[in-house]
Amino acid sequence: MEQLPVELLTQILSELDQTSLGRCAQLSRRWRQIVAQPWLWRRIRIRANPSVNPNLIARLTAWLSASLLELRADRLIALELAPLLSKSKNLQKFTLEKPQNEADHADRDRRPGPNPLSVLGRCCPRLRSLRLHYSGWLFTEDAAKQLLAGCPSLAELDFREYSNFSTANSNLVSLLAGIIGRLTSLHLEVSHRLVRQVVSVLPEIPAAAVRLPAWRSWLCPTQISTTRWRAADPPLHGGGIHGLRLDFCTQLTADRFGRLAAACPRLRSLCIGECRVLDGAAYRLLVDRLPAGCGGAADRPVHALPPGRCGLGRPAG
Amino acid sequence: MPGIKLLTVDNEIVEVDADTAKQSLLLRSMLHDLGVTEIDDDEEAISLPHVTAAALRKAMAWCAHHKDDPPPPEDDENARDLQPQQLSSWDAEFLRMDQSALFELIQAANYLDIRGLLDTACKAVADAIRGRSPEEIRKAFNIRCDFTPQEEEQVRRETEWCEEK
Repeated sequence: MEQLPVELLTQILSELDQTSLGRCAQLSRRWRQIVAQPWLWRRIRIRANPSVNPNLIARLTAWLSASLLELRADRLIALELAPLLSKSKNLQKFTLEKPQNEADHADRDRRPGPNPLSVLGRCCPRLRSLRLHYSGWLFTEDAAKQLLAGCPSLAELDFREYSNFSTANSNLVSLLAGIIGRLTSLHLEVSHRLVRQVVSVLPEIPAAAVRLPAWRSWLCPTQISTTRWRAADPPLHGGGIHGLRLDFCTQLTADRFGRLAAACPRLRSLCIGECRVLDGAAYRLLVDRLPAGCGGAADRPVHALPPGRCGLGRPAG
Repeated sequence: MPGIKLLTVDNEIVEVDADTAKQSLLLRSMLHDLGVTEIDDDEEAISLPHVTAAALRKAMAWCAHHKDDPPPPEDDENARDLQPQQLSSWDAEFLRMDQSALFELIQAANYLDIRGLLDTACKAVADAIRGRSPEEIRKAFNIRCDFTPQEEEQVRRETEWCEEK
């Protein structure tokens, strides 16, 4: 191994994730030096951990920020992320998971930074994908405004929230309304109330859908993926929806589904997951109610699908 | 198929198939520059100062097997993801060799500019690193730890955040 020149060792290292890179840095002085090249660390995940050095964010900011393409921040103190984000001008993908509110943190001497989502909008013009998991409390009006103004490539949104923050909801809807023309992927795991609000802005999605295999359909452009949507709700205004993925919709009966299908005349692919009440007969009833031309998994017999998941479809014409 | 003669660093003349050899961008441009089309007993062998005969034979065997592969896609930062791609079983079997031979092959692939082989062999080494502790990696690749105990402790603390727990 020691006979290999730096550039070949570097190429080997470029195949590795941060866990393995961290271990390689511990091998010897030469390895530590080679592993420290920032471009090897384009995709990182930082998790809160009591043993993590408190200066980690500052060190990463100085060392990696310019080369970061993908950052996943897990249970970190939200406001401490701002300095790192403000220097990550090439960042394309950001995941914020369960950020901690500084007020809950014992160390209150540190000055709070600005809202990381606003910083993202101001400083990360290449952002393409934003995933906010249980971070609704940070989704302020200013954050939505900055993201809208500063991230012209933002096209993938993944928003998951247990609690129902009505201001975050309306901010999310205004962001969505602003980027809907370029949205390629939308994943929501939110309250049914928010889903209804979101769906009300969706009919303006352009009809340039690309068909992908049904089992990846939630990656389709003009795709909406929801959980906890109750089929008992009034019909969706789904005029422009091409693909629909519904999880955990335990109250989805054929009749309710009929109303949903009628509201989505352009539906081309449908995936229903974790819906154990559907048996073969209910499945056939649902297929009968699909809009004409809705393709997908029609050629697959029901029993060939994974248990608890069923794809629906009917050949065109 | 016409063959060409290559003189390796360990002074052996290896005759290889010209079409196969052209998967090496280095050999392709050399053959182009020299205008070599056919084997000729008077023709002098092309000298490869950084490649051993064993590594050259291995590299040519890989090229022969992969001769119909589509050209590797351009490195697309957006398309790449973190999931390591599994080597094909043929490649995994092919690269089962002792370490020094594997590193010689990597250097040969690099010098000859055979990108597919270089990528594949580097992935195989990365696979051997992945999931192992520093001590295990040192042992597997015979790497001497030259840290002082203090330095070792410091670098361990500095990299603690990298561990996915």
